[in-house]
Amino acid sequence: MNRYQEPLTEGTTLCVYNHDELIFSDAGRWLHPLFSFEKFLISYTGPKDCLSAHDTAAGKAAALLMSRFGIKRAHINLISETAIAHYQAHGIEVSWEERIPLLACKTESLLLEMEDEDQMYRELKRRAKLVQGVTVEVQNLLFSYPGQNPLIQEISFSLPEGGRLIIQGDNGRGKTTLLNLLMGKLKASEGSILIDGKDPSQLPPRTIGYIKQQQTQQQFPVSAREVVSMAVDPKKEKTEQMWEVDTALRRTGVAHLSSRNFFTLSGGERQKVSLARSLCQKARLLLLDEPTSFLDAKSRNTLLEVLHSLTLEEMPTIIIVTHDKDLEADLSWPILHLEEHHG
Amino acid sequence: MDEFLFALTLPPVSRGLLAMAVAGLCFPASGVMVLRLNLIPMRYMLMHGVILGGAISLALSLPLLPVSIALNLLLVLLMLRLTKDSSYGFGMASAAAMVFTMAAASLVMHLWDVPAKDTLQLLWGSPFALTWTDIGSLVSIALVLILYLAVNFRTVSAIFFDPEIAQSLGMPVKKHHTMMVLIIALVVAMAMKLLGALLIDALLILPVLVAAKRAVSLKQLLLLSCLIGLFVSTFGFLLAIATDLPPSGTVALLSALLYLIPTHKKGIAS
Repeated sequence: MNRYQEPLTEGTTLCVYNHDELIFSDAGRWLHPLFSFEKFLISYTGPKDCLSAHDTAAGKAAALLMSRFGIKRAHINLISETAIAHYQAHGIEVSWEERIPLLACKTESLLLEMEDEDQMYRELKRRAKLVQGVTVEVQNLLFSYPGQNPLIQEISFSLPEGGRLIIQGDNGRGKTTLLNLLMGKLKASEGSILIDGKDPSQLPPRTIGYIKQQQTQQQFPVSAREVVSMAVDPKKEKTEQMWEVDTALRRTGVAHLSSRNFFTLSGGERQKVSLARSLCQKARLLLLDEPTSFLDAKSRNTLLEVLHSLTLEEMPTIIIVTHDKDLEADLSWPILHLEEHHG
Repeated sequence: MDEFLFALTLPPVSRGLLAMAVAGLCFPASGVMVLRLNLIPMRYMLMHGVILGGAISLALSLPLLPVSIALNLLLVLLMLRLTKDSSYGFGMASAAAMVFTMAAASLVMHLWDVPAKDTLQLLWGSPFALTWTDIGSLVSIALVLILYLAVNFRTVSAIFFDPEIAQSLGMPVKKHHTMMVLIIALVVAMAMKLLGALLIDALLILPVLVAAKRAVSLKQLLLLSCLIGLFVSTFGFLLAIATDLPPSGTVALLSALLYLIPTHKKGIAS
């Protein structure tokens, strides 16, 4: 018997070994020990070439998480058929003590019909309340500038925590105006906007991260690091602030550009630095205005990759306004079209 | 050489040198604010404000510096009020205020029989005419400027980068804009006394433009601007003493020459 297959100690619900060396254990319930293990992995720098887990129970959800976290071998006290199928499909060596068709829990039923692993993972994080995002509720929104016809008319949509939405429309349809309404810079003529259940003007500072359309004409010396640093919470310790800036720059793949002038970077690099800024801000609602404008194909792909990873890790609620019709296919997010009568 | 060293021991010269060094080291930081917040027209208006201050102080036999500082602060507050209640930006309000201040200066000179020549002396500045009180004011203004930037660097850099982004980060953009405008008003009033209206840019703006050719970050820009400012103000002042030329013109010429020196491609202006 391998060490990871030995009985769990009293009260422990999950143990993770690398080969035979115990590196992590937890006594939590449901999927929380696995999410704690995911957090542990962020700062763990030891070897992890043969991660082996012993869990008290595993359904499809636990199997999915273990495969995402790089577990190679698993021993489960009570396992479902769906979990076994998932382990085997991902080449994970699995053993068990008791096997049943399905775990009697909501999570197992919820994932039963789901195929997309990213979607399942996002759903699990949402149920575990590990989502940074806020709810957004827009009801019958109408806005017009004084003395003008309504620019935005009868718009309603609703997003859960960590939800994603693309708002698409040609120029002049009020896309940026809609962003300004969401940020509380403009007041709706009629209808309501609630973010995290509050009026945008009542939100705590730093809730909304805003990434503007790229401006190419700016000329001012400001380094990429300075741009990211301006979003760090000033109440934190200096060392923690620096760690957050470094981490955000690394996460978006622009650490090597930190000492470069922001305005001399390419469009894609600037967008990545702006995303790093939003990461540092820990924005709960991220608003992006025409993020793909002025980007070449390579920069565009990198931006999409960073956005994809954001929707799986921090999971802020993200709203993109764009006239880029290809973004729908690239991101596969829900779309809201701003029609002509809104203009 | 002996004459040069002797000149440096004279109180007006040593006070002038001290003042130029302090101003050169600190005032370019306000030049960064002027350029980044696009306040060039306001700076012109403030220069005209000092001319009006000069006319009033001569007419009423009041000390020039406090009158100029008070008047500039008043003008800036008035402009902030005007721009708040109208759709006109700072540029338009500055143009209107500039005309108003010159008109007022002209009327004061006429009504109180102030010789125009004396008022227009302000165009050239006089670092040799500083009292210890003036130097105390100068050091105080310089300290306010540097302390403000040091304490609020993160907010200031965000506002310089993009006021909308700063706003989304929950920063009090309007408050800091007002603070910066008031600090600029103080600095301009002080710099006018040193270099005069015509050459004020040698101390405020040109060091920033020279530094911007090389800087890649805001910290670098501020640091380089101040070091260049210190160099042109002290070296220019000493050169003026050595060659018996007017300090303001010498400092301005030195700044302009530095600006003309080509740079390698590193910063933004290359």
